[in-house]
Formats: sequence, structure tokens, C-alpha cells
Amino acid sequence: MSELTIDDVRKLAETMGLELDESRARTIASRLSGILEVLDAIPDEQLDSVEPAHRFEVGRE
Amino acid sequence: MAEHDLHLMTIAELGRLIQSRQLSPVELTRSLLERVQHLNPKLGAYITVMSETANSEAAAAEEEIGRGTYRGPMHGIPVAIKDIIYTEGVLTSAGSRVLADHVPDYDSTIVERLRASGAVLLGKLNLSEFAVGGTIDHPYGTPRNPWNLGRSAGGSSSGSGVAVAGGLCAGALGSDTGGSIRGPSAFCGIVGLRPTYGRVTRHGVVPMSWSLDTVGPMTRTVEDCAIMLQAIAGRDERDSSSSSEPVPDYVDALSGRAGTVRVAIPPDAFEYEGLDAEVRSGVMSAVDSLAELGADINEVSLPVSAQSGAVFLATADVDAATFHLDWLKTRGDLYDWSTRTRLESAVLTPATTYLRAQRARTLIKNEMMSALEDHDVIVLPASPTLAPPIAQSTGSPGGYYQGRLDLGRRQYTSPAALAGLPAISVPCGFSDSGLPVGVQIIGRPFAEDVVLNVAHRYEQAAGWSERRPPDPE
Repeated sequence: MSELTIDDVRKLAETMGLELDESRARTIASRLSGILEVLDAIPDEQLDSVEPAHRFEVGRE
Repeated sequence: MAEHDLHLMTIAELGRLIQSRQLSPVELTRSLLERVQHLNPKLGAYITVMSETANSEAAAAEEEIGRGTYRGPMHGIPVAIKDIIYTEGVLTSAGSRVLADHVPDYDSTIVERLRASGAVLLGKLNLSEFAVGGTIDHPYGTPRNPWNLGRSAGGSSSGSGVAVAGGLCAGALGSDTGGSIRGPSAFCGIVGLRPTYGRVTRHGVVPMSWSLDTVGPMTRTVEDCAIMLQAIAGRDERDSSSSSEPVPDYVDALSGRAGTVRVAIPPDAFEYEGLDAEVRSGVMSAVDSLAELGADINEVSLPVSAQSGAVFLATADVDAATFHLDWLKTRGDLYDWSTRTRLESAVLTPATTYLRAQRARTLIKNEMMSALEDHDVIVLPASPTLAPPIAQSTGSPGGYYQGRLDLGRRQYTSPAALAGLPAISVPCGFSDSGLPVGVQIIGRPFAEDVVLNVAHRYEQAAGWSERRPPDPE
């Protein structure tokens, strides 16, 4: 999934109990699609090679 | 000491005068409060000025020093803090109408530590709403860049940048989730340090992102940064994310390092289309200066970090949305349009996208740590652009904080944040139009001493931190 339409956003918002006007729905669709596009461009084989950073720790390594 | 010069002086300089009793903390505090009263309406740095308690704290410091008890270089120094840091009995608004009546009944640990160091708290500083960035309508006044009042002071620690650059406090605290200390520091021509994740407690700080938020100093010099960090760093039992790593002497570290510094430069980051030519030139001049100081400069490749803007937003904003969800449903109209839209966007981020971002975060952390295996620091621009005009510096459609360019610009500050690394912004020049440029120096986890040392050596050689903006007319 590399694009979210305004209709997608409206449906998701309704599920979450958020009321969006046209301007915010359009901006959110554009914003999320931009993020999805960048993340989708990172190769799957690279992402599949590591664990997600669910539990975040920093130490001297 | 001429009173009209006090606002130009560094914490270190003021501290020496206070320790030797050549300068009265009461007079210093009074002088700065007068400047705040006179200039804050033009600069928009403060949300709340704590004149009464500041004067009392200054008098107490003076009395204590007079009795021969000197606590250290922060004793009697007037500072101010970003208005997401809790202060007992004092408005902590987070720059939002949502918290317009929020008066905490306790102090954050950071405020406790500042007071224990003897610092005088002048007040609470303006910011982008909830430290999110891109605020269109600042409910407590628009922060203005002291170098050009029509330009942005950056976000989200905008008031902290303005107050330090404009001489309205001797030093300030900001917070940095994805660049909120480093960006305003670069735009305002000051020094700002994002500490290692966990180095400084966040107890009593309004959160944005649990796995990214840090609090750090914003000052006129690297030495001042070291002094302020010393006062606030260290384990806090009230913050489970704070680290037990020992706290070194950061001021000693400024002069205590010998040998060749190994500096990593990712060349692709200097070819990005959104990187301003004058910023590129300023940062490359800083790299040349480091080489002249004896640093060993090497190129490294950070391909996934170039995509870090999207990874950051998919991580930090989802964290923030979790905190804000109930308010978005019940008090959504109180938010700035930009903040509200960004947080709602995060609420609607698919879980699969969030998980993809978490894997990419691991890749970025591995990439940064790999570069730092063979190098002491990584150098990048602190911001890819000069301070934009205030009208453009928003999250409205077409604004600085929207769209593809926003994602691209974040590649400079997001990698250190996502990897939890310490990173400092230091002035490295000015544009032809007189706007500051900042160079960013990133180090290994808990190697603030190294980062400060390299930054200090560069600062001493370059001298840009000595420039001060004129007072607004």
C-alpha cells in the first residue's frame, strides 16, 4: 500500500471517532501517502533482515 | 562590569564574576528581567516570566555566596526553560490552548536539579505547540528570530533559541525529539545539544515521543552547554528511561582530549536538492577547519538514513498521537490546525506502516553505529536551510513542514534521534543575508564528552559563536 485516498482517510477517521473536514482529510491523505511512499521504497530484504525497534535501548556498543 | 553588557556574556564568564563576587546575582537577574520586559513583546520568547521567584532565588544565591558557599558555575545564573517542563504552581502550557489552565503541583526533576545547582529560573519559554513543530497560530505570541524578525526561529524549541540569541537569559533548556534543539539553535546562531536518549531525565516533561524525547541545553557557547548539561544529567528513579551510565566532567572534557579525531562525512547528504548552497558551503568550511585542526576526515555511506524523515514521522507522531487521542476527540478545536492535522494523520497511520518504520529504525541505528565504529563523530548540517520567513514556516499546505521537501529535510536531524545518539549544533557561519548556519556533530551513545570536545575545538578556531544579533528597535 503506497497511497491513501481521501476516502480511505475518511473511513479510517470514522473508525477512530475523528471528524475530519475536507481540508484536513486532503492534507492527511497527502501526508500519509508521502510517508508510505518513502517507507515502501526501502527494500523488503533489508527490512526483513532486522528486528523492529519495539523496545528501544541505547548503550555503549 | 557595565550592566549593558551582561546579556552578551556567557554562563562561564558570568559564573567567574559571581564566584569572585564582582557580580551580584540580584543585579544580573534584574538586568535580564528588564530586558525581557522591554524586548519580549518584539521577540516572543517567553510565555511566562517568573519575576518574583527569580528575584527571590537571586537574592538567596547572593546571600549564600556571600556566606562563602559557592555551589558551582550555575550558581546565581539566570536561565529559562521550554514550557513543556513542569514547574510547581506555574503555568505549563506546552504552547497550546489545550493546556491553557495547566498548573502542575510539582516540579520536574530537571527544575529540581537546576535549582540545586543554584540557577535562577527567569521563566517559561515559547515553543511550537506540544513540541510538534509547524504551528501556524502561536497562542502565546509568535517567536521571532533575533537575526531577522521576519524569519522563523525554528521549532519546536523556538523560544529557547530566541531567548538565548536575544540575550533574554544566560542559557536555556529545550527538548529535541527529532531536531527541536538543533534546528532552532542553527537558525538562531547558538549552540544546542541533544543528549543521548536517557542521559537527561524526562520526569515532569510533557511527552511527544517516549522513545525519542530528550531535554538538553541551548547556550551561547559549547562550554556553557557543558556546564548546563552537568547540572541536569544523570539517573532519575522517577524516569524509567533515564540511564545509570556514569556522568563524566563535561567541562574538563573540553580540554582533556588528545590525538586525532576521526570524522565521518556522508557525501550523499551534501548533494540533496533541498540543501541550501550557503548552508552546504558553511558546513564544508567547518569540515575544512576540523581537518586543519588535525582531524582525519573520511567519507561514509548512510543510504537508509537518507530516508529517515519518514521513519521519524511514522514513529514519533504515532507515539504523540497515542498521548493526544482523547484530547483530539474532545478538544480538537483547541489545537492549532497544523498540530491537529499532523496528530490526526498519525492516529490513522496503518499498523503495518508503523511496523515497517520500526524495522527501518533498526537499520538506521545499525548504519549510524557502524559509521561510528571507525569514527569519533559524524558531521552533517544541523538544518539544510536558512531560517525561512515566518509566514512559510508552518505545517499548512505548501508550508515548510509539509510535503516531500519536509520529509527530505528531516534526513539531517532524524538519524541521531532515531539512533538515540548525542548531537550538537554549533554556529559555522552566516549567509550573505546575515542568517546563521549551524554544523551538526554526532557522537556515540553517552559520548557527550567527545561531542563537546570536538565542538569546542572547532568553535575556538572558528569564532562564530562570538557574534550577537543587534537588539530589535
